[in-house]
Amino acid sequence: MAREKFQTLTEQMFYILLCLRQELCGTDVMTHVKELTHGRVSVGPGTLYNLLESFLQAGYIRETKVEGRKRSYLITQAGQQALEEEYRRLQTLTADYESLTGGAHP
Amino acid sequence: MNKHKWEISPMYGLLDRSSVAAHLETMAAKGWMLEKIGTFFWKYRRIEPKALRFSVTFFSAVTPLSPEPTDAMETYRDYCAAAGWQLAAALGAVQIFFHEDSEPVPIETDPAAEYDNICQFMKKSCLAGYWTIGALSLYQILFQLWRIWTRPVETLSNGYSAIAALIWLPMALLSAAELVVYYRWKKRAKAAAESDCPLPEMRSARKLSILSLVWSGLVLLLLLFSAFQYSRGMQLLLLGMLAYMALMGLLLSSALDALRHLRTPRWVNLAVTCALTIALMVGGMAGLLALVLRNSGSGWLEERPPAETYEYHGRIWEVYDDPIPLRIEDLADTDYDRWSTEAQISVSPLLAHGVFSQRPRLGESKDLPDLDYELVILKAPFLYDLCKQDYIHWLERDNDKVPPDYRDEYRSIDPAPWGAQEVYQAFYAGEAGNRFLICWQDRIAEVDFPWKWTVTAETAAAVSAALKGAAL
Repeated sequence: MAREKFQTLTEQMFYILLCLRQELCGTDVMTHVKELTHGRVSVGPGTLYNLLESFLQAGYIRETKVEGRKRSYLITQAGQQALEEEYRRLQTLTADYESLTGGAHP
Repeated sequence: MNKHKWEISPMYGLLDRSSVAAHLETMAAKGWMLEKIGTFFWKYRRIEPKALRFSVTFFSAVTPLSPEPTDAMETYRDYCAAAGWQLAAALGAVQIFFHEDSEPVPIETDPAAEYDNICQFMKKSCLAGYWTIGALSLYQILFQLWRIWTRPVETLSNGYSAIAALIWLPMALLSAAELVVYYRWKKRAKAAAESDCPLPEMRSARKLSILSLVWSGLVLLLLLFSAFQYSRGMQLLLLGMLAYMALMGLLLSSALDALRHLRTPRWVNLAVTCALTIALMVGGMAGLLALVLRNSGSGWLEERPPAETYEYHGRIWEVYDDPIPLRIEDLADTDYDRWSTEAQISVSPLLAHGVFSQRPRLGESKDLPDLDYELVILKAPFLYDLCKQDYIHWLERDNDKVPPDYRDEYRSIDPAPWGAQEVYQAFYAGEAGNRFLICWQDRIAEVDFPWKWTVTAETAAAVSAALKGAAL
């Protein structure tokens, strides 16, 4: 892995896990991320497939339903924890920024 | 108007994704859609000329032995289809998609995941092959160089042996280039992925690939040229072996393709491929052996059949009537005229090497002498010392195993009577023998005179007259 695996989540990892707080199939995840971020973040299909496989292996998500080739997933406790840690890390970054700049926009 | 078109592989490396995509986009704009990719040929079908976007990706869960398509691969393709990416063609783990939009969401959008995926693909599908071919080619090149260094006359006078190192050189260079390019890319890509930046492009060694292909073609022509010195039967045998190897490759590839499409497990594909390879190789070797044994003595495979045969003590002996440049009659008076003269000549662009003998028939007279000699004609002056040392080292090859008084060696003697640059006489355990190494500017001869003879200035002059201008 280019970075320590899941030590920090990339933007796309973060949004995939966030979407999987509700049960979704793979293709729906792509649509949900786009809608959630108003088109700012797009997850490519190859990236989605590889990240879902990695999350499954790491136990961050679990397979809930298989209909033909359509598989649905849901976040696990471990995945939720990783998501919360990333949220706190981002909050720390935001807080540091605000304490130094007073929250002023550049 | 043709509906399909075949193209020789444009020789881009698989990881040179942008070049492959650009090539396919140009073809689509001309009205040709990729339908099938192979190692050597790509197939296209005619379409309305379109501006399409292509993307090359790797499905790293698939190896060359995996069943295809797997459920996982179908799921991957479903995700791509949902994003508008349609499959154009696939070769193992390599998947080529196209999109109708001019600026679609790329298939890979996370550099870290993309980097991992490419590294997995390389590890499973390519690296072992590159390292194996590189190591095998390097071993073959070093082995051939070692042979040239230790037995230069034998090696360089044979057309195949002389160019054997050149056959392996392109493969060694290509494997090395692919590995160097990949590991350099990997280092830069890792840094980019860690910074969440797009991965760098990896340009393929396309010019080297084309050069290697041309080189291989030339070497093949040289090999065919060198086969002309063999008998017609041997030429047919060589062609048959080449055809069998091509057929073997085709059979193995077809069998593996069929198994993969039957979705048999990977271990079954591996076992069947190994068993089929062994069976075809053993079958081929057995067939070759049977063919050679069946035709031995028929003269079909021999370079030239004997002039006649005779029986002596219950065995059949062959008599040859080959022209030889130096005969016993040139060196001594004799009335005997039932000699067997044999010449074995091998010629390459670097050397011509002849091994000659003249013998009486067995049982006709015990007093008749034998004459054995070799002649090497150097077509490149820099080979002079290498070939001279070959003969000297061969005579002295066991000297490190015996005490100094029992050693064999070549000692320099006066070259004037031989009209040569240098002449050496063999000494066996300190005693002069009748073997001489005579070195002219463009040729070297090693002559074994009958041991009873006294080699005089007249003998030397006769040898010089016969061998100095002889052609092979």
